[in-house]
Amino acid sequence: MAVPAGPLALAVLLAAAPAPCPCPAGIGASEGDAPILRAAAGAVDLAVCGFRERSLADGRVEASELEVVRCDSRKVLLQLGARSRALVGAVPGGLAVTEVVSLPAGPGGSRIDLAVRRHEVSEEGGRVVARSRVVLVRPAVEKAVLDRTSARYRKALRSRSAGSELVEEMLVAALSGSGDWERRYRAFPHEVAVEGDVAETYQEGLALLDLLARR
Amino acid sequence: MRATDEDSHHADRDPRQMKLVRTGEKVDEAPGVVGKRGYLSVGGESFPTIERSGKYVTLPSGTFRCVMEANASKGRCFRVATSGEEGHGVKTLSGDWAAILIHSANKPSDLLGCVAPGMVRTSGGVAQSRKAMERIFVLLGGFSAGSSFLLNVE
Repeated sequence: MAVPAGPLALAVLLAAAPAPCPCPAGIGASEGDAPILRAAAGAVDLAVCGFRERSLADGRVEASELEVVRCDSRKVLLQLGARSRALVGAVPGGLAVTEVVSLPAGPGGSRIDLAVRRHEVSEEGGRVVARSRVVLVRPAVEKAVLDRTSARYRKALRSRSAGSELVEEMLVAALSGSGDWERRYRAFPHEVAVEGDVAETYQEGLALLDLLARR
Repeated sequence: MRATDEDSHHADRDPRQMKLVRTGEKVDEAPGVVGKRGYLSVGGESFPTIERSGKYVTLPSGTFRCVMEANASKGRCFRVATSGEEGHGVKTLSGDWAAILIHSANKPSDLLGCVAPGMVRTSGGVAQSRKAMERIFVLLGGFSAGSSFLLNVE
Protein backbone atom coordinates (compact mmCIF):
# COMPACT_ATOMS: atom_id res chain seq x y z
CA MET A 1 0.00 0.00 0.00
CA ALA A 2 1.41 3.33 -1.05
CA VAL A 3 1.95 5.86 1.74
CA PRO A 4 0.91 9.40 0.80
CA ALA A 5 3.91 11.68 0.53
CA GLY A 6 2.34 14.48 2.61
CA PRO A 7 1.80 12.61 5.90
CA LEU A 8 5.12 10.77 5.54
CA ALA A 9 6.98 14.03 5.10
CA LEU A 10 5.20 15.42 8.14
CA ALA A 11 6.14 12.37 10.22
CA VAL A 12 9.79 12.72 9.23
CA LEU A 13 9.74 16.40 10.15
CA LEU A 14 8.13 15.70 13.54
CA ALA A 15 10.69 13.01 14.31
CA ALA A 16 13.53 15.44 13.57
CA ALA A 17 12.11 18.35 15.57
CA PRO A 18 13.06 18.61 19.25
CA ALA A 19 10.32 17.58 21.65
CA PRO A 20 8.35 20.50 23.01
CA CYS A 21 9.77 21.93 26.22
CA PRO A 22 7.38 24.48 27.68
CA CYS A 23 8.77 26.65 30.46
CA PRO A 24 7.71 26.14 34.05
CA ALA A 25 6.45 29.16 35.97
CA GLY A 26 9.65 30.81 37.12
CA ILE A 27 11.47 34.01 37.84
CA GLY A 28 11.05 35.38 34.33
CA ALA A 29 8.62 33.13 32.49
CA SER A 30 5.04 31.99 32.94
CA GLU A 31 3.94 28.35 32.86
CA GLY A 32 3.83 27.19 29.26
CA ASP A 33 5.89 30.04 27.78
CA ALA A 34 8.10 29.01 24.89
CA PRO A 35 11.82 28.92 25.76
CA ILE A 36 13.85 31.80 24.42
CA LEU A 37 16.61 29.32 23.51
CA ARG A 38 17.07 25.55 23.37
CA ALA A 39 20.33 23.65 23.75
CA ALA A 40 21.57 20.23 24.78
CA ALA A 41 24.08 19.13 27.38
CA GLY A 42 25.01 15.67 26.20
CA ALA A 43 21.73 13.80 25.91
CA VAL A 44 19.84 16.24 28.13
CA ASP A 45 17.69 18.89 26.48
CA LEU A 46 17.88 22.33 28.08
CA ALA A 47 15.57 25.32 27.85
CA VAL A 48 16.35 28.93 28.62
CA CYS A 49 13.24 30.57 30.04
CA GLY A 50 12.94 34.25 30.78
CA PHE A 51 12.84 37.63 29.14
CA ARG A 52 14.43 38.03 25.71
CA GLU A 53 15.86 41.53 25.35
CA ARG A 54 16.98 40.89 21.75
CA SER A 55 18.34 38.29 19.40
CA LEU A 56 21.94 38.65 18.29
CA ALA A 57 23.25 37.99 14.80
CA ASP A 58 25.48 35.15 16.04
CA GLY A 59 22.48 33.12 17.25
CA ARG A 60 22.81 34.10 20.90
CA VAL A 61 20.12 36.01 22.75
CA GLU A 62 20.46 38.89 25.17
CA ALA A 63 18.20 38.04 28.07
CA SER A 64 17.38 38.92 31.64
CA GLU A 65 15.42 37.41 34.52
CA LEU A 66 16.16 33.94 33.20
CA GLU A 67 16.43 30.32 34.23
CA VAL A 68 18.15 27.38 32.56
CA VAL A 69 15.86 24.40 32.96
CA ARG A 70 16.21 20.67 32.21
CA CYS A 71 13.42 19.69 29.83
CA ASP A 72 13.04 16.19 31.33
CA SER A 73 12.69 17.02 35.02
CA ARG A 74 12.08 20.79 34.78
CA LYS A 75 14.84 21.21 37.35
CA VAL A 76 16.27 24.74 37.42
CA LEU A 77 20.03 24.61 36.87
CA LEU A 78 20.77 28.33 36.86
CA GLN A 79 18.80 31.45 37.74
CA LEU A 80 19.55 35.13 37.13
CA GLY A 81 17.23 37.87 38.36
CA ALA A 82 15.74 40.92 36.75
CA ARG A 83 18.73 43.04 37.74
CA SER A 84 21.02 40.81 35.68
CA ARG A 85 21.51 40.88 31.94
CA ALA A 86 23.22 38.08 30.04
CA LEU A 87 24.26 36.87 26.62
CA VAL A 88 23.09 33.29 26.21
CA GLY A 89 24.13 30.84 23.53
CA ALA A 90 24.62 27.18 22.77
CA VAL A 91 28.25 26.01 22.87
CA PRO A 92 29.69 22.59 22.07
CA GLY A 93 28.46 20.27 24.81
CA GLY A 94 26.08 22.68 26.46
CA LEU A 95 25.12 26.25 27.07
CA ALA A 96 27.02 29.41 28.02
CA VAL A 97 25.47 32.32 29.90
CA THR A 98 27.65 35.42 30.19
CA GLU A 99 26.46 38.10 32.60
CA VAL A 100 27.25 41.61 31.41
CA VAL A 101 26.98 45.11 32.86
CA SER A 102 26.80 48.36 30.94
CA LEU A 103 29.39 50.85 32.20
CA PRO A 104 31.15 53.96 30.84
CA ALA A 105 34.36 51.95 30.36
CA GLY A 106 34.85 52.41 26.63
CA PRO A 107 36.94 54.91 24.68
CA GLY A 108 36.42 58.42 25.99
CA GLY A 109 34.16 57.11 28.71
CA SER A 110 31.64 55.70 26.25
CA ARG A 111 29.31 53.01 27.48
CA ILE A 112 30.18 49.38 26.77
CA ASP A 113 29.14 45.98 28.07
CA LEU A 114 31.68 44.36 30.40
CA ALA A 115 31.46 40.61 30.88
CA VAL A 116 31.27 39.81 34.59
CA ARG A 117 30.59 36.10 35.05
CA ARG A 118 30.39 33.15 32.71
CA HIS A 119 28.16 30.22 33.59
CA GLU A 120 28.50 27.01 31.61
CA VAL A 121 25.91 24.25 31.73
CA SER A 122 27.26 20.93 30.52
CA GLU A 123 27.26 17.21 31.14
CA GLU A 124 30.01 15.87 33.38
CA GLY A 125 30.19 12.20 34.27
CA GLY A 126 26.56 11.62 33.43
CA ARG A 127 25.33 14.62 35.41
CA VAL A 128 24.32 18.03 34.08
CA VAL A 129 26.01 20.75 36.08
CA ALA A 130 26.29 24.54 35.98
CA ARG A 131 29.72 25.97 36.70
CA SER A 132 30.39 29.69 37.15
CA ARG A 133 33.53 31.74 37.03
CA VAL A 134 34.34 35.42 37.23
CA VAL A 135 35.53 36.75 33.87
CA LEU A 136 35.58 40.45 34.67
CA VAL A 137 38.70 42.04 33.26
CA ARG A 138 39.87 45.33 34.70
CA PRO A 139 39.12 48.02 32.10
CA ALA A 140 41.87 50.40 31.02
CA VAL A 141 40.83 53.99 31.60
CA GLU A 142 42.32 56.94 29.75
CA LYS A 143 43.91 59.73 31.79
CA ALA A 144 41.55 62.32 30.30
CA VAL A 145 38.59 60.25 31.48
CA LEU A 146 40.08 59.87 34.96
CA ASP A 147 40.72 63.63 35.09
CA ARG A 148 37.09 64.29 34.21
CA THR A 149 35.93 61.83 36.86
CA SER A 150 38.23 63.53 39.40
CA ALA A 151 36.72 66.92 38.65
CA ARG A 152 33.18 65.58 39.01
CA TYR A 153 34.12 63.75 42.20
CA ARG A 154 35.54 66.91 43.79
CA LYS A 155 32.42 68.83 42.80
CA ALA A 156 30.25 66.12 44.36
CA LEU A 157 32.23 66.32 47.61
CA ARG A 158 31.65 70.08 47.71
CA SER A 159 27.93 69.84 46.97
CA ARG A 160 27.55 66.55 48.89
CA SER A 161 25.38 65.26 46.05
CA ALA A 162 25.90 62.90 43.13
CA GLY A 163 24.00 61.14 40.38
CA SER A 164 24.25 57.62 39.02
CA GLU A 165 26.55 58.78 36.20
CA LEU A 166 29.30 59.84 38.62
CA VAL A 167 28.88 56.67 40.67
CA GLU A 168 29.40 54.60 37.51
CA GLU A 169 32.42 56.68 36.44
CA MET A 170 33.97 56.21 39.88
CA LEU A 171 33.26 52.49 39.68
CA VAL A 172 35.06 52.23 36.34
CA ALA A 173 38.05 54.08 37.82
CA ALA A 174 38.05 51.69 40.78
CA LEU A 175 37.64 48.61 38.58
CA SER A 176 40.64 49.77 36.52
CA GLY A 177 42.82 48.82 39.46
CA SER A 178 43.39 52.16 41.14
CA GLY A 179 43.55 51.63 44.89
CA ASP A 180 42.84 55.32 45.46
CA TRP A 181 39.65 55.15 43.43
CA GLU A 182 38.56 51.95 45.13
CA ARG A 183 38.98 53.62 48.53
CA ARG A 184 37.06 56.70 47.31
CA TYR A 185 34.29 54.49 45.95
CA ARG A 186 33.94 52.48 49.13
CA ALA A 187 33.92 55.65 51.27
CA PHE A 188 31.56 57.57 48.99
CA PRO A 189 28.27 56.97 50.89
CA HIS A 190 29.92 58.37 54.04
CA GLU A 191 30.72 61.61 52.22
CA VAL A 192 27.80 62.11 49.84
CA ALA A 193 24.13 61.23 50.21
CA VAL A 194 23.42 58.38 47.81
CA GLU A 195 19.80 57.30 47.91
CA GLY A 196 17.13 55.79 45.69
CA ASP A 197 18.29 54.92 42.18
CA VAL A 198 21.78 56.30 42.91
CA ALA A 199 22.11 54.03 45.95
CA GLU A 200 21.01 51.02 43.93
CA THR A 201 23.61 51.82 41.27
CA TYR A 202 26.24 52.23 44.00
CA GLN A 203 25.30 48.93 45.64
CA GLU A 204 25.55 47.01 42.36
CA GLY A 205 28.97 48.57 41.73
CA LEU A 206 30.14 47.60 45.20
CA ALA A 207 29.15 44.02 44.46
CA LEU A 208 31.40 44.10 41.38
CA LEU A 209 34.35 45.38 43.41
CA ASP A 210 33.76 42.71 46.03
CA LEU A 211 33.62 40.10 43.28
CA LEU A 212 37.06 41.16 42.04
CA ALA A 213 38.42 41.32 45.58
CA ARG A 214 37.32 37.74 46.28
CA ARG A 215 38.77 36.35 43.07
CA MET B 1 -17.42 56.01 50.33
CA ARG B 2 -19.01 54.96 47.07
CA ALA B 3 -18.14 58.09 45.08
CA THR B 4 -14.46 57.76 46.01
CA ASP B 5 -14.44 54.06 45.08
CA GLU B 6 -15.90 54.84 41.69
CA ASP B 7 -13.44 57.65 41.12
CA SER B 8 -10.63 55.30 42.06
CA HIS B 9 -11.96 52.58 39.77
CA HIS B 10 -12.12 55.00 36.87
CA ALA B 11 -8.59 56.19 37.60
CA ASP B 12 -7.39 52.54 37.35
CA ARG B 13 -8.75 52.36 33.83
CA ASP B 14 -7.49 55.75 32.70
CA PRO B 15 -4.98 54.82 29.98
CA ARG B 16 -2.74 57.73 30.98
CA GLN B 17 -2.68 57.03 34.70
CA MET B 18 -1.25 54.44 37.06
CA LYS B 19 -2.06 53.83 40.70
CA LEU B 20 0.25 52.39 43.36
CA VAL B 21 -1.37 50.99 46.48
CA ARG B 22 0.66 49.68 49.42
CA THR B 23 -1.04 46.72 51.07
CA GLY B 24 0.85 46.87 54.35
CA GLU B 25 2.24 43.34 53.91
CA LYS B 26 5.90 42.83 54.72
CA VAL B 27 8.48 40.58 53.09
CA ASP B 28 11.35 39.37 55.28
CA GLU B 29 14.10 38.55 52.79
CA ALA B 30 16.99 38.33 55.22
CA PRO B 31 17.95 39.75 58.61
CA GLY B 32 17.67 43.51 58.20
CA VAL B 33 16.31 43.27 54.64
CA VAL B 34 12.58 43.87 54.69
CA GLY B 35 10.28 44.70 51.82
CA LYS B 36 6.79 46.06 51.52
CA ARG B 37 4.19 44.78 49.12
CA GLY B 38 1.69 46.64 47.03
CA TYR B 39 0.16 46.63 43.61
CA LEU B 40 0.27 48.87 40.58
CA SER B 41 -2.94 49.33 38.59
CA VAL B 42 -2.72 50.33 34.96
CA GLY B 43 -5.46 50.23 32.33
CA GLY B 44 -7.63 47.86 34.34
CA GLU B 45 -4.80 45.40 35.08
CA SER B 46 -3.02 44.97 38.38
CA PHE B 47 0.63 44.06 39.02
CA PRO B 48 2.10 43.08 42.42
CA THR B 49 4.91 45.38 43.54
CA ILE B 50 7.82 45.24 45.93
CA GLU B 51 9.71 48.09 47.62
CA ARG B 52 12.37 48.26 50.31
CA SER B 53 11.27 49.07 53.83
CA GLY B 54 13.38 50.90 56.36
CA LYS B 55 15.45 54.05 56.37
CA TYR B 56 15.34 54.57 52.63
CA VAL B 57 13.67 57.18 50.49
CA THR B 58 10.19 56.19 49.37
CA LEU B 59 7.39 57.66 47.31
CA PRO B 60 4.90 59.49 49.51
CA SER B 61 1.16 59.56 48.89
CA GLY B 62 0.14 61.88 46.10
CA THR B 63 -0.05 62.20 42.35
CA PHE B 64 3.22 62.41 40.47
CA ARG B 65 4.36 62.57 36.88
CA CYS B 66 6.32 59.57 35.60
CA VAL B 67 8.43 59.68 32.47
CA MET B 68 9.38 56.64 30.37
CA GLU B 69 13.14 56.27 30.18
CA ALA B 70 15.58 53.92 28.45
CA ASN B 71 18.11 53.61 31.25
CA ALA B 72 21.51 52.05 30.52
CA SER B 73 21.56 50.28 33.86
CA LYS B 74 17.91 49.73 34.71
CA GLY B 75 16.56 49.10 31.21
CA ARG B 76 13.20 50.51 30.20
CA CYS B 77 11.72 52.15 33.25
CA PHE B 78 9.81 55.14 34.62
CA ARG B 79 11.49 58.06 36.36
CA VAL B 80 9.22 59.81 38.84
CA ALA B 81 9.39 63.60 38.58
CA THR B 82 11.13 65.15 41.55
CA SER B 83 10.04 68.78 41.77
CA GLY B 84 7.18 71.04 40.81
CA GLU B 85 3.47 70.50 41.21
CA GLU B 86 3.69 66.90 40.00
CA GLY B 87 7.02 66.02 41.62
CA HIS B 88 7.39 63.64 44.57
CA GLY B 89 9.30 66.25 46.57
CA VAL B 90 11.44 63.66 48.38
CA LYS B 91 14.94 64.86 49.19
CA THR B 92 18.12 63.07 50.15
CA LEU B 93 19.97 63.82 53.37
CA SER B 94 22.08 66.35 51.49
CA GLY B 95 18.98 68.17 50.26
CA ASP B 96 19.01 66.92 46.67
CA TRP B 97 15.93 65.57 44.98
CA ALA B 98 15.90 61.79 45.39
CA ALA B 99 15.97 59.76 42.18
CA ILE B 100 13.10 57.30 42.36
CA LEU B 101 12.33 54.94 39.49
CA ILE B 102 9.85 52.21 38.69
CA HIS B 103 11.99 49.43 37.24
CA SER B 104 12.28 45.68 37.05
CA ALA B 105 13.60 43.83 40.10
CA ASN B 106 12.64 40.77 42.11
CA LYS B 107 13.36 41.27 45.78
CA PRO B 108 13.74 43.93 48.47
CA SER B 109 17.55 43.78 48.44
CA ASP B 110 17.49 44.87 44.77
CA LEU B 111 15.82 48.11 45.82
CA LEU B 112 16.80 51.16 47.88
CA GLY B 113 13.89 53.48 47.17
CA CYS B 114 12.57 52.44 43.77
CA VAL B 115 9.47 50.38 43.01
CA ALA B 116 9.45 47.07 41.11
CA PRO B 117 6.33 45.50 39.60
CA GLY B 118 5.95 41.85 38.65
CA MET B 119 3.41 39.58 37.01
CA VAL B 120 3.18 37.34 40.08
CA ARG B 121 4.01 37.47 43.78
CA THR B 122 6.69 35.21 45.17
CA SER B 123 7.57 34.49 48.78
CA GLY B 124 10.48 36.92 48.47
CA GLY B 125 8.96 39.62 46.28
CA VAL B 126 7.82 39.45 42.66
CA ALA B 127 8.65 37.43 39.54
CA GLN B 128 8.42 38.12 35.82
CA SER B 129 9.25 41.75 36.43
CA ARG B 130 10.63 42.43 32.94
CA LYS B 131 7.46 40.99 31.46
CA ALA B 132 5.38 43.18 33.79
CA MET B 133 7.24 46.34 32.76
CA GLU B 134 6.68 45.56 29.07
CA ARG B 135 2.99 44.85 29.72
CA ILE B 136 2.65 48.17 31.53
CA PHE B 137 4.22 49.97 28.58
CA VAL B 138 1.76 48.25 26.23
CA LEU B 139 -1.17 49.28 28.44
CA LEU B 140 0.08 52.87 28.25
CA GLY B 141 0.21 52.79 24.47
CA GLY B 142 3.75 51.49 23.96
CA PHE B 143 7.19 52.48 25.16
CA SER B 144 8.36 55.89 24.03
CA ALA B 145 11.21 57.55 25.91
CA GLY B 146 10.05 60.89 27.27
CA SER B 147 6.34 60.05 27.32
CA SER B 148 4.84 60.93 30.65
CA PHE B 149 1.97 59.64 32.75
CA LEU B 150 0.46 60.32 36.12
CA LEU B 151 1.07 58.01 39.04
CA ASN B 152 -1.30 58.14 41.97
CA VAL B 153 0.25 56.75 45.14
CA GLU B 154 -2.09 55.80 47.98
